[in-house]
Amino acid sequence: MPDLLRAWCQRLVVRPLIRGYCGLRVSHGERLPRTGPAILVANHNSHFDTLALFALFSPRETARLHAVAAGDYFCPGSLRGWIARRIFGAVPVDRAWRPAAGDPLAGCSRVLEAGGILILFPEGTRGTPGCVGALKAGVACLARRHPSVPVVPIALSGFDRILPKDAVVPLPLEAAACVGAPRFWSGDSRAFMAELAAALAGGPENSGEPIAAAA
Amino acid sequence: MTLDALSPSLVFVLMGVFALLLLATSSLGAAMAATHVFGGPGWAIASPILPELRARLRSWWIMAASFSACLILGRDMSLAFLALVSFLVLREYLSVTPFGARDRVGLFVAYATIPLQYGWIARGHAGAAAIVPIAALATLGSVAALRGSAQDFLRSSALVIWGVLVAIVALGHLALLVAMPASLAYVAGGPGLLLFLVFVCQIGDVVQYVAGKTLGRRRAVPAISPNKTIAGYVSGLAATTLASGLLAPYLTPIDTGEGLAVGAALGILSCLGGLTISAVKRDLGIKDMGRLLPGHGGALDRADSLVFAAPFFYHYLALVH
Repeated sequence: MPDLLRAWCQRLVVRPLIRGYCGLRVSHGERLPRTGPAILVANHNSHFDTLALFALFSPRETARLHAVAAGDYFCPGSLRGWIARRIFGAVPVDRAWRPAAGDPLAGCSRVLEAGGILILFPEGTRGTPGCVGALKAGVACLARRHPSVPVVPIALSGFDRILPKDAVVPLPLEAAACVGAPRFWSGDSRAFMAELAAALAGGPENSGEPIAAAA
Repeated sequence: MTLDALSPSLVFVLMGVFALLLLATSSLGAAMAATHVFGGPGWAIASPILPELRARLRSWWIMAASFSACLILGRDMSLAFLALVSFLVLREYLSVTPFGARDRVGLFVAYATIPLQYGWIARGHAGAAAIVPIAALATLGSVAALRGSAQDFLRSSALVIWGVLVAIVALGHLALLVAMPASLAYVAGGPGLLLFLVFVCQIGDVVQYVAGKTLGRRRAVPAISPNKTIAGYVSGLAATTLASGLLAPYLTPIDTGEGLAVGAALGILSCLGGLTISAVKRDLGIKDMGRLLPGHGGALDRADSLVFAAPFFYHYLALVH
């Protein structure tokens, strides 16, 4: 059964906010995975980054999307945690993980095995605007564990100005999402992460590429 | 103005606009077919720009359709449409301008001038255009005073006021034309004045673009607008002048002879508007303001010719007629 709350939230809030109030230019929208399993990775500077990635998909497709969220920030019981889980299908990951706590990526693996699309911000937190921070190793672990799942890097730009880390009211400005070519686990963790980091850093600013509108 | 009060000349000119678009679309189709069959159309327009022409034409259809729909739906819809244009122009300008985190409040002040301007115009207060940038400046000054810091104030407030002047005050004159008192807009109503101005300026832009691509060699101002040629400017000016002389008696209180003179002035101001916005883009190091209209660039890339022409035309009508 389709998740009506998520679909209508997408229609009435996420897409109007990202594509009406703000503007979103999508380059290479045809590279987006239409079916799971897939891992979307993006650079992270704003709460709007998650909304922007959701806005790349149609309301029907959102049921498949799951954002990986910090368990300590989007904790259960808070409104933030409820929204993250209910609307964005959040998969909590423990940032203060100790070996005794078991497999920290078990939730992510379950989503991929069920054919879901995982949204992951490998910087681990909303970093410094304009630069891509060091990537955490989780994305490489997931790619190694699921070598047939495509990893799609998406370079987001502009959202750090629309809703910076400490701001409450979003400012209407145009932003851009540049979808990179899908990659698969290459066998070398360091090379894989360096390739992803380079793809996330290369924004679409004035690249003169034609825009392909996403669905 | 309601649907039954729609002026026949307004409808007639709108039909002419769509006839022109049909003509352009069919000749472009013929050119593309010729390219496909013979490897080249064999006439002036070079085949490499055909895809760009096609994108531009497609955007023209969308712009013409939404613009005419709003004109036909009357004064309030036209004002709402123009307020949306102001918003889109301001948003794309602010998106490419170097603002820092400290200037954030100023950007909200810029957006707040849109309801102020259009609300006043809708209530018939023609003086709004002069007050809006001053109100914005006063707010920016208060923000700086409350913050207790004048650091970078001139630069950041100038960026905001620039955007307000172009996107809200200058283009707001299009709304003032729509809301023009009936004594001046008796021929085809306020929407008729708006249609006249927009058509005359845009046809000049189209002719300037096509002539610049086909006839012109000598570039007019390479440092600011590298694609503009002298032949393009001359042809565009001639097109605006002729279109103005032809349409003025039907849509405005101006007769043919005066229409030619007004058209020449509008043509020169159109070029000046384009050059001024181009200078902003070159200073920012960008080609286009945005990507809202495929083939054209952003909303301001399309509306740049109206930035000076609209205030001139409004005040000309208000003073002379």
